[in-house]
Amino acid sequence: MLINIVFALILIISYLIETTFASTLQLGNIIPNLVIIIVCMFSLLRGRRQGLIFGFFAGLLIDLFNGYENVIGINALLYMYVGFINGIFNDIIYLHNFHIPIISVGISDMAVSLMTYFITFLIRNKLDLIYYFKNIIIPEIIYTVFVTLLLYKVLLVVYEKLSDYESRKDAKIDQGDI
Amino acid sequence: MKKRGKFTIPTKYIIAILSFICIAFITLCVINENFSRPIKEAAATVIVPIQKGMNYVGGWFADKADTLKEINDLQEENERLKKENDELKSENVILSQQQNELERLRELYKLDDIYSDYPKVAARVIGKETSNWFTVFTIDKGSNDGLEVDMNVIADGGLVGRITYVGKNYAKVTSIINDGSNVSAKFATTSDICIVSGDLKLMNEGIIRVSNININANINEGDMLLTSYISDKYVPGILIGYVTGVEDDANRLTKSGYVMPVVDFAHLEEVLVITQLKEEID
Repeated sequence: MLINIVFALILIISYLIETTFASTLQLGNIIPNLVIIIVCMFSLLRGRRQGLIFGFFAGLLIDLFNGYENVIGINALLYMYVGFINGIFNDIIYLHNFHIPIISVGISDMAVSLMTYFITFLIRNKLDLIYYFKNIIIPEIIYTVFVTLLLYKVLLVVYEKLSDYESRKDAKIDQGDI
Repeated sequence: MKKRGKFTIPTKYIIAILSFICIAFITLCVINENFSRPIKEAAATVIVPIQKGMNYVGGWFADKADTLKEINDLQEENERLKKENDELKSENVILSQQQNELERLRELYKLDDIYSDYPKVAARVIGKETSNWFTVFTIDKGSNDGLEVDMNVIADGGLVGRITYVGKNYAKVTSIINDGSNVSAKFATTSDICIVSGDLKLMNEGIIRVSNININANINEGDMLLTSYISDKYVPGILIGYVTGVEDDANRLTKSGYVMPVVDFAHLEEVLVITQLKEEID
C-alpha cells in the first residue's frame, strides 16, 4: 500500500514538473513524457493488475487537465493498456538490466504518441505520418528514454527500500498474531 | 505470498470495467460538451494552486541565478542605455509633434485608432500542454477574474491566441501556432484579407502559414499583418507578425506565404488578456 502511495506521489510530482517547467525542460520544442516512465516502471515492478489501475489513474490525471477537446477518458484508456501490457512482463524480466526499462518505455511512448496522432491529427486530414514520426515522435522517444536512464535506478532503489520495509512490517505483524 | 480466502476481482474484469468506464466517458463528453466541466473544475481547484506555487518557486530560483550572473552585464547595459536615452529624448520631441499632426489628420478623416485601447488584464502562464502535439497554455486567471471563452490574449505587443476554456481559477489559451487554429488577418499596408493558420510542421521553425491572399495584392517581404475586422473571434488591429516568402499558388487565384510571429511562444511568461469580446465591440 505504501508503495502505491509513494509512486502516486512521484507520478503527480513528475506530471506537475512536466507542465509547469515545460519551457525549461524542452529541447528543440520537445518535452519528455515523464508520466509514461513512471507508469512503465510501476507496472514492470508490480504486475498487470496494479499496473493497469495505476495507468488508468495516470491517464485520468492527464485527461483532467489537458484532455483533447475537453474529452475525458482517451488518455485514461491508453495509459491503462500501457500499464496492463507492461505488467504482463512483470514475472519474466530482470529489471536491474537497463535494457528492459529502455525498451519498455520506448515502445510504450511510441504507442501512445502514435495513438495520439491517430486520434487528434489523422482525423483532421493531416496525413503526413512520416514527417510527424521524424520530427515529433522519434525525438520525444529519444528524450524520454534518456530521462529513463537517469530515473530508473532511483525508482528501483525507492521501490526496493519500500518493499523491504513493508515485508519487515508484515513479518512483525504475523509474529504478533502467532 | 497470496492471501487466500480474501475475495478479489479477477484482472480481466477490472480491465473490462475500466475500459467500459473510459469509453462511456468519452462518448458522454463527445455528446455533451459541458459534461466534463464539473469534474475538471473540481480537479483544478487542487492542482492549479500547486502549479502557481511551483511557478513562483521556479521563478524565484531563476531570478536569483540571474542576479548573480548579470551584475556586470547590467552596469554595461546601464551606460549603453543612458546614451540611448539621450538619443530617444530628442527623437521623442519630434515624434510628439508628429503625433499632434496625426491626431489632427485622424479627426479630419474620422478614422478610428488602429490600436484601440482595449481593457486588459495581466496573467501569468503557469502550465503547458504535456504532449508535443499542441501549443495550449494554462494561465492563472479564470472566470473569477472576469475572463470568458474567446477573449484574445496578447504578449510582447503581438497576438498569442484566444481563450478556449475557462475554469474558476485558470484558463486555457490556444495559441495561433497551434495546429488547427485559424485567424482572419489583413495587411496593414494594403488591407488585403488573408487567413493565418497554425501548422505543427512549421512550428519548429517558428513561423505560421498565410494563405488566401488575393493574387493582385501588392505584398512585400516584411509587411505587417494585423487581425482583421471581419474575424468573429479576434478583435481588430492586433499585430500578428511580419510576412515572408509570399508566392503564387498553383491555382493562379491566390498567394500564400509565411508569417514570423512577434510573440516568442517558447518563452511566454506573462500575457495580457483583452477583456472585451469581439461581439461587444460592434
